[in-house]
Amino acid sequence: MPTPDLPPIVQLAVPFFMGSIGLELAVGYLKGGARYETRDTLTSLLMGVGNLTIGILVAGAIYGFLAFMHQFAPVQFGTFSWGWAPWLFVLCFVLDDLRYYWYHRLAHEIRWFWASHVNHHSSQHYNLSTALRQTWSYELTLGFLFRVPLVLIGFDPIMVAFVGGINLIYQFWIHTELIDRMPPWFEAVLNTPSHHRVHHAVNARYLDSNYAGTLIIWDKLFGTFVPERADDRPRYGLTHQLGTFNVMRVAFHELIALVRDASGPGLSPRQRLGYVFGPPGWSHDGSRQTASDLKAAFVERHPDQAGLPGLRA
Amino acid sequence: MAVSIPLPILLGLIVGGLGGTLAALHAIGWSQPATLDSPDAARARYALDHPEDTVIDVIVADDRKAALLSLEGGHIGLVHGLGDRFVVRRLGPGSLSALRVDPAVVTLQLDDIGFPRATLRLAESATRQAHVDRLTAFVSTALAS
Repeated sequence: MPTPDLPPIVQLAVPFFMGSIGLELAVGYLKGGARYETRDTLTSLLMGVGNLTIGILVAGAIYGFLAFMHQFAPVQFGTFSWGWAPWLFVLCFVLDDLRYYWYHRLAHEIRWFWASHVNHHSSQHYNLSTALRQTWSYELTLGFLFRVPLVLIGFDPIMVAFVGGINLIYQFWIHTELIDRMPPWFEAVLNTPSHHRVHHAVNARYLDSNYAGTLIIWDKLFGTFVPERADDRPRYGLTHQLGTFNVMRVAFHELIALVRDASGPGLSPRQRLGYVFGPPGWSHDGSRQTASDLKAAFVERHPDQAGLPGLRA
Repeated sequence: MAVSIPLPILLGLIVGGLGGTLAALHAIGWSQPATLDSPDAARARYALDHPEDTVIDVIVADDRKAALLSLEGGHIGLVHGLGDRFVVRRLGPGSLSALRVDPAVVTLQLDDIGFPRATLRLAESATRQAHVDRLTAFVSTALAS
């Protein structure tokens, strides 16, 4: 079956992104419930433009690599009559969403990937412009390798890229404080603004939780789901907030810090590896705090909270 | 053939959307910087990031955009505006690469890629001098190490 000419859906979504930001801004101004700041928004949008530009520039190389790997698939679904059937797109989307969950989880638990993903979390605001504050170093840190299993299973790289784009677009609308809760059935199955506010929060109980892209069921399945609480409203950004709007620093601060740490004098090879592949906040002398350390310190200060979602007993 | 947006139109949408959004934000006053109403406001913001620290004394900048906090144990807390939010740091030996003290402004060069410089408008006073002396010691320690 010939390969269909699928549209570049992320590019097509740009007018929707810009219009939605304008709408959220207007509602936030007139009714409250959403907050923007000029320079923060400029930084987020420039990060989005940079991400889109880099994506267009390297798309050919990434596609070439995935197509090369696809040769080794025992079965290439695209060559069959059912290879581009709607149900296969749905199956690919669900498996790609699982791929996203694990990439995203490791992007929070391994500093190498965090050094790229940190860009998306670097705003203290949570609005639709934050959704566009995307990394400039996804390809550099090899995040695309997580797509290899899908093309080895047999899904065509074009289909994998297409459903990945749908997933990205889905995640745009959940970056808002304007929507409190969706209907219960929706909250149970899909990622929502409430679930994703928790993911972007720096409150101890919310750290390293709700990694889902579209389906929140992965977090419930793998034990990383934490519900939003009315008595602990999310505060956004990083546990070590950035003190700059400079996009170059926003884009590369953690990668530079990682290289500086790993190449420091007097470290053992194991310690150097710890700075690269350990969790964010890991240090050879224990002078910094990981998410686990912050959660433990919180429970020590608030023993009544021990055992609640996001906190150890 | 798949639908796509021609590059000039895509660029126009991005530039126009970005410019329009920023102009609207500025027009409705959402460019106003965050300010600290009182020393207690600085204490409260610092405590969000470092609840384990004990604050002894606070000096709020004259323009209320930043504050320095004396901490038990000899460290200094920094609360500094960034847009309409604040950024917090606990400063100690090795935190600063340089310090510049002018009659009305103290500028800290932090050894921090994500927060390279902090500027505090602080008129000369005994309290300011006490903080400057301690911050100078942090710089000296950093250079010596």
